[in-house]
Amino acid sequence: MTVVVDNCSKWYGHVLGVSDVSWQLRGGIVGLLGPNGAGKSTLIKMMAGLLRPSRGSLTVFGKSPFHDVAVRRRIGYAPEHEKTWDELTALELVTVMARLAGVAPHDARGAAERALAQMGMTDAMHRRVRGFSKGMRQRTKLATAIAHDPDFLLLDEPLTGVDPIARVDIVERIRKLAAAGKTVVVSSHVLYEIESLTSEIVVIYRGQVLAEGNVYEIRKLIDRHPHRIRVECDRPRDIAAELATADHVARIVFERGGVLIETRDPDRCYDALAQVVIDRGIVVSALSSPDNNLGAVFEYLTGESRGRA
Amino acid sequence: MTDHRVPGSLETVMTIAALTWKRLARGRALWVGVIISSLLVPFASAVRSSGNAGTGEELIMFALLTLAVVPPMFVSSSIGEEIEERTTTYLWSRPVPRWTVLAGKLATLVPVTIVLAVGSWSLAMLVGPQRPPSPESCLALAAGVTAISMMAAGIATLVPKHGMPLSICYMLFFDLPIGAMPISLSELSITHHVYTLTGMFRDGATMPRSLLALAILCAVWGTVAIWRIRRLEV
Amino acid sequence: MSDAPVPARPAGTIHDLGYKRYGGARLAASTRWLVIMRQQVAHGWKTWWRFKAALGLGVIVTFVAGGVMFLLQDRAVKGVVLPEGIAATLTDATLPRAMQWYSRVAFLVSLTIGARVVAGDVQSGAFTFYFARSVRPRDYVLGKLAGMCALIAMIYVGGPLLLAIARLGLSDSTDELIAILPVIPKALAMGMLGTLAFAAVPLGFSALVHNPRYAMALWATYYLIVGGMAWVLSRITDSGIAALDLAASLDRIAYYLFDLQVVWGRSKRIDPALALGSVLAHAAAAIALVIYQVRRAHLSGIGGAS
Repeated sequence: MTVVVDNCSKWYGHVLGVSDVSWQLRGGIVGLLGPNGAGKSTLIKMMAGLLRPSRGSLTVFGKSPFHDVAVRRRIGYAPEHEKTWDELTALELVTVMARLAGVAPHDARGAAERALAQMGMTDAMHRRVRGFSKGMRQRTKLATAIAHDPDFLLLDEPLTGVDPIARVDIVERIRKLAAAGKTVVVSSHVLYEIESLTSEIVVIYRGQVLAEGNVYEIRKLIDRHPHRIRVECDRPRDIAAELATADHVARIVFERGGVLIETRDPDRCYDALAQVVIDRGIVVSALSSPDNNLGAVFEYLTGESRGRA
Repeated sequence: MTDHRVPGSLETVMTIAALTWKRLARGRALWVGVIISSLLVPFASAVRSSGNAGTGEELIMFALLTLAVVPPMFVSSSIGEEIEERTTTYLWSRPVPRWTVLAGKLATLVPVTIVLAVGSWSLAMLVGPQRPPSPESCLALAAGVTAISMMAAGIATLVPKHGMPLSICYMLFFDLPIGAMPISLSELSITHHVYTLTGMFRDGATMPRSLLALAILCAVWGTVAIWRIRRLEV
Repeated sequence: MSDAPVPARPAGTIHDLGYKRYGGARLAASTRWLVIMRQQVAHGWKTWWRFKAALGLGVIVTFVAGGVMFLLQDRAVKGVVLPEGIAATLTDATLPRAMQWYSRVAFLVSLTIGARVVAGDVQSGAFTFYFARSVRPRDYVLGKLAGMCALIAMIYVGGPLLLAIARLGLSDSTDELIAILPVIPKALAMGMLGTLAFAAVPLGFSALVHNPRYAMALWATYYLIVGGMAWVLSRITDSGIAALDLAASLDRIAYYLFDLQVVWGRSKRIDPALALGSVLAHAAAAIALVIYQVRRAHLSGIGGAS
């Protein structure tokens, strides 16, 4: 087990950062999702050994990262803030970070060059960080996190301020790191950033873990909100007529060029829909589920949490 | 992941020291420090040109006043601002003990400040009284820089955001006044012991005793800094 | 089941239903500085170390000086005499002598807040925030200066005023009370002058460099070291250069205002008129520097560090 969080709480004076969180992480990419101030960074900082839990315990590879210096050798952390030592070049910065992470002095420069190359920063590695754009800063930060070849990567909002092209590139590079066997925790409050990286999520809200697991599985567990299925076709009234009497269908709304079906049992609804299309020879141009995504899941979860509060 | 090596303490201190020097040399702080320290030289020259070369007693007073500004500027901001701006997250998330970060910074900043202080003092003595500074006075300034740097490090870890102004005010409101008091409370004053070490003022205190007192003050502030930095969360 | 007709919509229209232009009353542009002043005071008040600690010291100075004035009222003071050469008592001398302690406390505020105001705003990119609105450079300068004055006045005007009232309370008769009534306007005048000096001059240093810690270091150097050097040079050359020592100049003005002659001490060498001129010149030069730098930043559209 990479991370074990057991009844962990963290207070900043009277402000609650994380409240009684229990969670285990095995491997792969996990998206830590939550609005600003939800407690994502607090949880990540505790995993990085920068904060210690006020109550409960948190271990990484079986050790407390705050107290055990050696375990931090296996952790790569990229903070959310942009501040670095602007007087240094990217190569110098990453080399120093690699050396402090235990890379032998004669290997540190090479490790830094490789990390920067992995992040697409080879051309800019001799330039000072002061002149970097936000995207370049993010890449440099990521390079500092991976230069010592850690097993466990903590990336706190790594895509903030990055332009769309660089975003795609960074997402691809993070995926490659996970494919290479690393455990990666990526935090973000931007849903599509996480969605583009992984379907394994932990939803954190007001310091508590609201849900964890696969986004589609979590969606299934939310009964209160029926699933919506949008069908764009030539004869929406025929579909509506056939499904109107089905007990799993909650509502049908006609839209321009199609129909929106709300169902409590998506599996049965898809079966029924396929039957109608085949039986009546309807031409379907598009089939989508507008709320079978992270945004809807997040909205439903936090909405319910707000309702309870 | 092939190697789970953790860097040694000395190696870490050296790495942080090199990093600190690189940042200092490329930033403007060094030049501001040079300007402030070197004010002593034109002052000595002005005193000399007025036909009153003096004995260096006034010079040492101003040399000490520059120590109330320059070490806090280097040390407090290097430690306090990093905590405040959270760049320490890069260092503290590495497999290194936190005291090595503090030691690495001081390993660069203290010698640099000593060079500035002793250098400007020596130059001022050559320009003003036109005689080389005594080894005791140079040693006194070096010891003073070390003690004030430790104090500044301690205050910077206690109050990171206001480390520099509070260190200056500590010197101004506490250290200098109690140093001037003819009571045993003056033993707590860094400036009092530096004055004693210069050998220019004889007030009953002896040099070895002052050296020991400064060592104790350094140890106390160093302990405060290490204790605090180990508990700090960013 | 809904079968409502869908109204045709033109392609590419954005319906921003959430935004409505503010339609309420707007304050006149001439009052913008007040907002900046309030923000400056609120910022100073926020944490213990910015202002409250200094205010606490100011209160301690006032209590100690008040206690000395009350308990040791007939004791003679060294270093200053009354105009006829009569020895001054602590009742007469405590208030002007306390000014040097208020100066020290004000210096602390000038370090924790004053010397980093403009430099901090430039470094953090706050200038963009200010000047993206209908804030003019003069609103900024006036607001910041007034904010700093408000903070320092709590110490430098409030403390002496309380001591002046205490001095009135120690009078033996109504005649004496009427005779010493001018201590109130004198304390106010002294307080306002000191407030202006400790608000404006550090602000000037903060406009000189774009890094708060350098600004702080330079201001501390000027106040502590350059001032002291000027005093020593003045003693050697017998010139009025000691007026560059802000602390000594303020001391000298205080003694002059309270009809005390300085027999010995740092401020002895300074002519009162020269001291007043020096303080006012320092403040004027500092304000001019702030205006120049802020205007320059405004025109060049400075955004601060990223």
